[in-house]
Amino acid sequence: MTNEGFIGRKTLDVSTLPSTTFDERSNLWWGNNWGLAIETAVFGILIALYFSVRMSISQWLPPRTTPGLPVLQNPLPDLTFPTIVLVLFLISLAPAIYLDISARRKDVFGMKFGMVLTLAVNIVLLVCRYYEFDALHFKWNDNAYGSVTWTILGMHMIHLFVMAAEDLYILLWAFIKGIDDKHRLDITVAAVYWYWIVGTWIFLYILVFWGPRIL
Amino acid sequence: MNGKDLSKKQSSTLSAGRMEEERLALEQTWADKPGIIGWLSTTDHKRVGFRMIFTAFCFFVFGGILAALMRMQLMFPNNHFLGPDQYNQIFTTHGSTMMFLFAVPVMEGMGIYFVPLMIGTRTLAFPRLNILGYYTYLFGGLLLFFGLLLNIGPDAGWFAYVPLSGPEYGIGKRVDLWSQMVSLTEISALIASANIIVTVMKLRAPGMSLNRIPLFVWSEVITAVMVIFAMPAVMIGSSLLSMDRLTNVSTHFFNQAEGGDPIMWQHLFWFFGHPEVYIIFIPATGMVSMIITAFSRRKTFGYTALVLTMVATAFIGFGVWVHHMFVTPLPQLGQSIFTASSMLIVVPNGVQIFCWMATLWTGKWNLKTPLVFVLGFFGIFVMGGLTGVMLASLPLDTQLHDTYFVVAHFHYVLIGGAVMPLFGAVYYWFPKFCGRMLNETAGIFHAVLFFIGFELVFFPMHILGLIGMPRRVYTYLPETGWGDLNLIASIGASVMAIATAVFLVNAVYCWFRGKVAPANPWGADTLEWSLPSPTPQYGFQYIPVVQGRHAIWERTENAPVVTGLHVNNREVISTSIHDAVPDHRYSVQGPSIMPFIVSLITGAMFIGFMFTPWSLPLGMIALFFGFLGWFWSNSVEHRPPYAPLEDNPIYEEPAELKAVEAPA
Repeated sequence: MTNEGFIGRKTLDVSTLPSTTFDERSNLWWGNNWGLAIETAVFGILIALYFSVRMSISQWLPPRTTPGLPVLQNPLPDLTFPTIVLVLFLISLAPAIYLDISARRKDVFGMKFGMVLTLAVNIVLLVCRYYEFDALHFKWNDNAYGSVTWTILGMHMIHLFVMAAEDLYILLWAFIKGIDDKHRLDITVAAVYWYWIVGTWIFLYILVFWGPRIL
Repeated sequence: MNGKDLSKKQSSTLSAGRMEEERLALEQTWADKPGIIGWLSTTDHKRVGFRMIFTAFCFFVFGGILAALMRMQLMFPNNHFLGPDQYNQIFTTHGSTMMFLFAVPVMEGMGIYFVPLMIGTRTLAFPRLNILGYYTYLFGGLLLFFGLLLNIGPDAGWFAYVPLSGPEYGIGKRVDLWSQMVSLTEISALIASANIIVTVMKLRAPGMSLNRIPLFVWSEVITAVMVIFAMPAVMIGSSLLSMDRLTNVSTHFFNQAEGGDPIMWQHLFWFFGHPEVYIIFIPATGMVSMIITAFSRRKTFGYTALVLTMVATAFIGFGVWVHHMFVTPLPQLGQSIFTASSMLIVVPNGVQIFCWMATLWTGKWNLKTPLVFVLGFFGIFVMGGLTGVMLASLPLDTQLHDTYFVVAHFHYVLIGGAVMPLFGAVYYWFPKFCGRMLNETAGIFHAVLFFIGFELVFFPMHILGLIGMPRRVYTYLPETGWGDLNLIASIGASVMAIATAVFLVNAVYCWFRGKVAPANPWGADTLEWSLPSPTPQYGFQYIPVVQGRHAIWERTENAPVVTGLHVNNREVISTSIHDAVPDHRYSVQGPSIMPFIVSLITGAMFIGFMFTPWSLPLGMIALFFGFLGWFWSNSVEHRPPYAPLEDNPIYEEPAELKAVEAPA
């Protein structure tokens, strides 16, 4: 349509509308949530895979031997350490919620401090993940049970890495350029991502560490 | 608050001077950067969408050439035009190309191109992600053909069943090429889907409430939701397969001896594979709805029913995958349930067909090429649907499994159900691509020839299947009596090839020399036809306020437009999800080379994973810096000036309207 097509047309002036919004009003929040829907589908399939392995292994759990020695050992994964880590995950919600609230309150110190706290907890949890792999007592290439449990823990670990990277990006921006409205939205969305990481871990923890005991 | 109330509140008009000033500013703001870097870094949804469509059609031609080679081999019994290994590579690459590199991407490309135009906005919600998706798809496709041309193409079928594709029997890197191609193209599909959903939810023009969204846009959204829940299955599957195959990793997911389950591969593949059929088919039904409405010159009959049948098809489509596995040792009761659900899917599809028939029946036909293709679609697709009902039956499927009957069935459904409407859509929307029309005579010739060629190729395959010819054999003996029907099919393939050649010549010729198209050559009803052909980069000079379901047909004389958006940065209006009430101004990032770099790293990471697991951590470190560059440039160049939130009152009522004098 040329300019002439618009002559005399009525107008709806939107210049006074805000340029940043939060939650379901913002596009980024929805983009993030659909991304998380994809990842939830991924974990759903991995959980189905775990049950499929359970069905095709006649002796549950598969036996565990010491390499080179014909000595059978307890095949069950450790419980104490992973449970402590789970509690740590739940505690880590506190800095994330604090961060979320600070972003909405435009509390600059709160945002920066909250980011540092979440990043610190994130790194601690990444270190713990190394020992959680150990707690499984199987290697990924021992059998299908080992493969599926390593993959579940590994997939979740990738999210811990991605979250750490995201935190680092926003922190760099916050300290170098300061925080503007757009980055306040980013921070609330990052908090949502963290809630999701913790939420999925509750289910995955039950599956991986209680599954061998109750299935 | 809905669109009607909005239009009542209008009180001002636009002046000529201000319009020209704003148009020039928009032209500058939405332009790409110059040079090769600018070409690589474009975020214009029309350019990205067109590249996707163009690339997909290139793969369609390559896949078609492979099909022609197969038909040449099968033309006579005991033929030795192709060897068995070559034949395996060719049918695998043909299937993988048509499904992963043509059908899904071309439907996404159409969505990327037309969804923003149809809902009255200037961009997708995440334009940089969009171009990232295109490049990952391109690299995946090149990878597959790289293998075929070096004679190391995948050879285990487009579904790559284990153990044939596993570490024990799948020699070399052939299957790895396939699985990395799958991962790359599925990343692309997932990115496009999330992008399209958010765009349609949040960026619709004011007044375009949910019940006014064009049917093609609905079809793209429903497809995108399907992609989000179906594609992860095959991505996980192909990743697990490559981990099983990689020597230093050697997991045991599909290794029976270590507690793995080869059947699980089939579940993973078909949990994606069957929804995939609807991921291809549903956008095509959207195209059919658009074409039928425009060329019957009446409002769509049963709009709500059409939307709901698409939703129903999408839901049921997730519950039928086991009918691909009827000859595996699964519990009989389960198989019966899947027979029932597979038959159930006929219901929504039937309702759709009847709605279209009712629209056609009561409309005034404008019998042009797009409509001819849609009529061809009815002829072929309905028959494919009927053989589908037959194959849903467990005992019949057990008999016909892996015969040419199945080949006939799915080509009827996919070519009839998707390629015919797609060709129609290309004729329909071609003016928007380049500002010129495709030639009508050549178009009708193309449609009729393609239809005849198709029937010649695939109808005999029903009979071949019934008399026992299995799929995926590179030759057969003269005593089988399959020779004559195969000869007919091969002759038909050459007719299809000629028809496609007519199309390609028509498209290339008319791109440069075709009749110049007006803005709305067909008198159609949706918003993209209110724009000039070809569409300027900024799309809508003023975002319209939508007053009805058929936006152009139901527009009043002085239909209002949106003003007050910044013209100096890339700003659009974001509206509420249900009623599309203006909510906030949303500015998107401009072009950047970072998506290209990130896709290079992603491609290298996946290709590297064929050889070493270390490509994963190394790739992730590289991606960290890639994304750092991406986010940093996001916020530097193209941010609107920072304004504290207090200055922007939270939106409750439509903003006050300012009067601008109209010129004399």
